[in-house]
Amino acid sequence: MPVLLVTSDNEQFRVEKVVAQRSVLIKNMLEDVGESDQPIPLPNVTAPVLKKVLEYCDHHQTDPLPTGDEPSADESRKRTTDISEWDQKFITVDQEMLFEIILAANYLDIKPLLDVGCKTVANMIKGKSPEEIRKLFNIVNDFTPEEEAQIKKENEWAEDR
Amino acid sequence: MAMEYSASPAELPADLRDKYLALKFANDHLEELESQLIIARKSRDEILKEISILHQSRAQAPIARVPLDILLTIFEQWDDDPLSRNRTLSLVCKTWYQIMQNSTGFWRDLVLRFGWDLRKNKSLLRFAELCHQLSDNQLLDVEIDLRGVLPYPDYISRILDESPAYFQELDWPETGLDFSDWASLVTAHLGGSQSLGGILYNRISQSILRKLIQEIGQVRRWKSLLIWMPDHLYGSFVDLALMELNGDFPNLERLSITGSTFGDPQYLGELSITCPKLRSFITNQDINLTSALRYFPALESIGLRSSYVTAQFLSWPSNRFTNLRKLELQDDGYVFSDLPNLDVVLFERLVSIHLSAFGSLIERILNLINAPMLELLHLHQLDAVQFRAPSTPILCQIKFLLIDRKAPTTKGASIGIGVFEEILRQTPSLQSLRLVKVDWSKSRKIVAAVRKIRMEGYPLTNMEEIILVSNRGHFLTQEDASLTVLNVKRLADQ
Repeated sequence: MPVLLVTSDNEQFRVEKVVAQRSVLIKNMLEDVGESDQPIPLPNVTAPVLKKVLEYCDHHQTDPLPTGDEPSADESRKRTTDISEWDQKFITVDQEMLFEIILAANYLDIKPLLDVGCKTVANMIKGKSPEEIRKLFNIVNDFTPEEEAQIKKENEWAEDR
Repeated sequence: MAMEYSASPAELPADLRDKYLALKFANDHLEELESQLIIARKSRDEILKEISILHQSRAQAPIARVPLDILLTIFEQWDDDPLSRNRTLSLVCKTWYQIMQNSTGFWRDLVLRFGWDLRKNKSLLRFAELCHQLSDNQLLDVEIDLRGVLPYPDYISRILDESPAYFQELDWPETGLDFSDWASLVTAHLGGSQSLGGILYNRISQSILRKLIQEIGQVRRWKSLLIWMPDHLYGSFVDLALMELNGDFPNLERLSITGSTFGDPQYLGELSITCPKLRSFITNQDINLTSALRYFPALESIGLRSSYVTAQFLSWPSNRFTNLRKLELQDDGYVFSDLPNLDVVLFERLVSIHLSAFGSLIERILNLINAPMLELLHLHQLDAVQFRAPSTPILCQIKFLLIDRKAPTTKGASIGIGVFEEILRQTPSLQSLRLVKVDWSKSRKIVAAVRKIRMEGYPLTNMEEIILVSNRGHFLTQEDASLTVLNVKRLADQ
């Protein structure tokens, strides 16, 4: 049975329940309202982002759903930043869309998608200097020269290795 | 408001004239302050404008919209080279800096490696303090890796050039020279006699090592301390340096001191440290452990890779090590063979032994160990001489047995199968036997021996496999094969 989703920009998406339920948020809402034709409003997601998110959910619709017995933060950290080939292709988008997907995955509670997004950003950061990271993400260096010097001094050893 | 008066000041009485002059000064001052205020306001407006631009710029950056907990998750994905990660991310902007500072997990489980570069070690000690604070007083892992130094004159010259202040702090009691005289002496000889240069070099290195160990040893917050000694230095260098490591280490759980062994047995340095929580201790150094062993009551794993320390350990009352589960001993026969008769030592909880020794000593050492819980035995034979199976019941609970030999040789390849048979008779619980570069590794001999043992009434019911590993194909039935797995249950069916 299809489910009707309505985005913040008032676009409607009719999707299969099994696809929509990749989102824990939607799954819980559906369980709460029971059998109903009522559209589900998603005020924090725009149509282009939801389209992309649904593409992911559709591709992964047969994957086992995450359980509560996920590895600890430490363990998952040790799993490094491997991303499957399809996911890599899927997440090759501009920065604006990448972070929108991350925010949407967080809001819709789609943990595997959130992981893919976070790993992608981590891969972009790894091995870069602070200046390169600022440039990459358009981040303003808001340290005073004194503060920056102090942090560099604290971490002097890590730099000189 | 200034009071108006029509008469000129010169016509006024003196006291009133003074007042008007004071009023004029006050008015001038006010004007000046007002103009300063205007300038300050302008400046403030400029700053506010800049702040607004910065805020706009931040708002435009897509990453600025990501909640802090997700940012933290992203940072956690950077799992290799955590030291570089911490430094880099802390320096991006204030928000990222705060995330890093407030996440204790980023500052735990860091391995801090000290080396020969003295200036870096100073900053590393400071960094260690920082990690300790930021990790919520977590204990730290430390490695002192002193292997990187090369015994060449130019290296010493570089040390002298780069860290003269450090050397001035050092004590030179044996030479009686101050630093500048000493440095001149070294420099003069570095280009000349190699042997004298070597001696001086050794002296400098020793001073550095002693100082380092002293400094690092003063920090008692280490959870693990792994010291890699230099390979090329000689004399009682290492022993003397280790003597700097003394006192209480209340938090230390893991201690390892390894490197080449050049110690003079006549002058064994004594390790006198107290580690009530020490669970693992490894060394290959010829050091006097008799005091230290007394203060390692919680040991669960011990690796003694030298004849001297092995002999000391086996001479020591075993009831000191009631928690010991894993034991590694090495004896190249120079000391242990000379020891008088020793008592059998009981290790109640021991489950694993790794013994490296000459064939002639394996039986003797095994006969000295009473380990009723032993499940895993690794015998590393240092020669090709046949050894005999132990005469005690030490093998009766063994499930995994690995026998390997240091160097392959074809000589005497046919001997030793009798030992193999004897071992099988003594190990009713054995599940897996692995033979690496052992003379008996011809699979047809092994198969014949297994069948013979079964016919004698030893069913080998638990045994699943015998794995033969050799880097020489002719030890095995299959030419060019390096590994053969004999499924023992299948052998029984044949």
